[in-house]
Amino acid sequence: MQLPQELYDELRRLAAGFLRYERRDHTLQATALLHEVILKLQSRLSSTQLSRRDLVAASAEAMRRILVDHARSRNRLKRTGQTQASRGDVDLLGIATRDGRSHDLLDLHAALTDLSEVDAESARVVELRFFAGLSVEETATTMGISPRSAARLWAFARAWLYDRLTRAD
Amino acid sequence: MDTDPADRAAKLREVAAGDIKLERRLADLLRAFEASNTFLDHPILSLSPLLHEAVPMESVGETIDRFQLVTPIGSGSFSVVWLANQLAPMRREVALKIVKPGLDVRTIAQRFDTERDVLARLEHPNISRIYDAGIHRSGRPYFVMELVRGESITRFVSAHGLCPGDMASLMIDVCSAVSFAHARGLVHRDLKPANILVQFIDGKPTPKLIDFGIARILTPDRAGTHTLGVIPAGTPAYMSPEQATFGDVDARADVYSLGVVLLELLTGDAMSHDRSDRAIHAAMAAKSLGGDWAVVVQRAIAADSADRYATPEQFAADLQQIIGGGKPLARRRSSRSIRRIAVAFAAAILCGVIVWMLVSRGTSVVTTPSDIAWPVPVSMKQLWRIQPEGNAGWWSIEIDAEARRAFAVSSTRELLEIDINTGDVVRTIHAEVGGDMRLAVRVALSTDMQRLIMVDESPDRLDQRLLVFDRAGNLISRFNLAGATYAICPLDAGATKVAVSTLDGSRTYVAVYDVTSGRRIAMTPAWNSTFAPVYLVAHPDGNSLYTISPAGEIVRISASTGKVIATLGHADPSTAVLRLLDDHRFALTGHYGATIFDVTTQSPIIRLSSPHKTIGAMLDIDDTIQLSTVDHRITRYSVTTAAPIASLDLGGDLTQVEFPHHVPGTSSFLVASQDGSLRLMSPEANASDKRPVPLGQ
Repeated sequence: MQLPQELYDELRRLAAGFLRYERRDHTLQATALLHEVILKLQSRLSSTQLSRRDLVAASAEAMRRILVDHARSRNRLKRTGQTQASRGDVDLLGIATRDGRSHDLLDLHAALTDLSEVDAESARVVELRFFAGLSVEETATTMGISPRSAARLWAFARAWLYDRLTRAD
Repeated sequence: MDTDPADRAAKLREVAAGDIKLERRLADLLRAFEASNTFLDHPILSLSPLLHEAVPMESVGETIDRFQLVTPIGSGSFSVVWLANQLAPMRREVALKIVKPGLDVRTIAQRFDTERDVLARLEHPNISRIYDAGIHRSGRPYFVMELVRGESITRFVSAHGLCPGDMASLMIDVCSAVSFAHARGLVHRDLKPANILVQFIDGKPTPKLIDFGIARILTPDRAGTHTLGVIPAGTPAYMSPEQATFGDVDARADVYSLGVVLLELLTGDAMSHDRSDRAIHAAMAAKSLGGDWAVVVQRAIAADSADRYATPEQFAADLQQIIGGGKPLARRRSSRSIRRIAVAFAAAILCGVIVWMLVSRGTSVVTTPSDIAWPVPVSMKQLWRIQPEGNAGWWSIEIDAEARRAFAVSSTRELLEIDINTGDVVRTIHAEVGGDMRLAVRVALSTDMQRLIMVDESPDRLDQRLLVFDRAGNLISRFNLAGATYAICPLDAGATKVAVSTLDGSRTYVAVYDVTSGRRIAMTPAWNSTFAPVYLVAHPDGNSLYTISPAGEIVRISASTGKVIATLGHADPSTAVLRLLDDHRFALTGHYGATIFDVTTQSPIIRLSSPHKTIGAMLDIDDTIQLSTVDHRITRYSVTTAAPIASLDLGGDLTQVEFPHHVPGTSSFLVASQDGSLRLMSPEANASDKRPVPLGQ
């Protein structure tokens, strides 16, 4: 399935600023992230027409994968350049946890993977809320659950991840 | 959830029913629940627009609250502006700006609430008022503003043929409005001609700023809320370097934008994103208007905000001086210390030298004419394509045309040797070195094609090394490198010396190594930056190189001392591409074109412009220069006229094409794409290159 142009434009606009933080690798310029999302989507979509719901769900998952892949390949820089080399994801969770330790995307990814073992549904909620930026209501619609359940799962997931990340080492 | 700790403890005990471990775990989670109420609140991106079938758009005649939409009068990337009728309590025409779908609506509404008072008090004759704001039924915020019936300052100035003095007067009014807002804690952050409207009021051209405070509401502060998904506020061409890189933005960011606007008025040329153009433009303006203009503009658009006018008033004061025939402060430097005077003096001399270079060589700079017809592109066909499994892009590509070989580092971190004729991967080079699995980082070929240089790193990415092979694949030399390598560049034909750009901690530098001994021969002083130079270009003398420093200076560096021999100008290190074309020319690619420099005189000799963002330049057969652009086209320009003579279209199914590599001596290009594929493409019309098109894998 080809993504409709306006959808593409919209995604492009949303992703535009993202990789400014990681501009130093020329293979990953501003819109690269988005291209990858679309590419991964396209390979999944095959010929069947997917609903927007499925499309967003697929985007959220693709986004998480891509970001984690990038964070991994970026790790080299972070280790040698200490905290400044990849400003973007170093600050990502550090602001929110306020415990003096910076967490990066890979920490979150690992914790989220663990969470999906405990409760796959809450992990899915985090994917949609954090990696696709959906509201609680939109998350509920996408997952086919009630907004109340989505809110509950979100609260649980957030507490669980927070606990995991602030307690680790 | 119970808030009384005692109640809660009792409840927990009840739920856990004697399971101490469970009880403790629940207590932990509850604590985390309370502490985590803002955790992960700022998503990386918002894909919600994808979810909604068609977001209800506003339409003509629609009434939003007390306002009836009449006709759309403008559109930006974040919003659409409507002419609207206010129906109550009074009837008047207003401008209604409604945010496009996709922004974080809640945060915008909150920010508007906190700034409402400031905006309401922003009453200045040169600032359009913000009357009201609200939320459209689709959930998108809108702003109601005073309707300004003016033209953008650039259009006004050219339509009415204003002289430089009049332009300066307009800018002085603009500066006063901007200062007024600054005094109330508001930085505009998106000053550009489209936001400075000019109309005749009582026969006098009067500028009016629109959108004050809105850029700030639509986009978060650095210190506050943004995480990763933020698009910087503002318009790239007018944005200060610190704003573009998410640095700390203050009043001086607006000064910068005003400086660019003035430069645009003076030269009559729309500014491209390419900051390197600006120094040239400023110099051009100086040539026709007198040095003071250039000094003032250059002070306003200094890359480092510390070198800029601290406030718009200072900028205005200097403009006033010029109009009145006095010496601008930027020239007088009376308040500076001796040292600062010396530095400024040196800078002025340098500026003078650039101006002199342009003036004395002005006639020899060939520039793409503005009224040319762009050639109809010839479509390209794919000769082969490979796509290694798991590959998501290419880190580094080198071509040996004579041997019909390409060397490419994939994102899976393997160095592949590829047969250009067939697209077959002949071998994977990292597997043949040492016992451990190393990851490839960069590859380069010496100019005599006899040496293959590669940088690889350990799987934990903690140590890197440089390896040199002969073309039979024998390892000739191997030594460790410090830090993380960004670029490598053999300096002489046989690659006995290699320059490496390195990020080490929070410092970056370029070092030159003797390949045989692995000894570091020279090193530049370290730049305090985490952005190491991405392009290193060997000078044909074999003992120096060009690069763009993290500070944005195009410099020539001695390979024996590491010292800067010459500074050629400025370029944005995050977007400019430096390429050597041949023994006597190198190209600096900006956003919309390229400047070709002469290696001997180090001055620009050709300026090529292109209608699309340019991602690379290369020399082609018959002494033409090719620029490749983001719209997947390659355009050939004549060196003598700087006019485009032919264009190739790589086709639309490619995603995010990297710089296409011309295969010398053929009409083919090696095209790397972000989808992880590598393709050989050739013009459709070319019959000599017909070969079967095997699909890789």
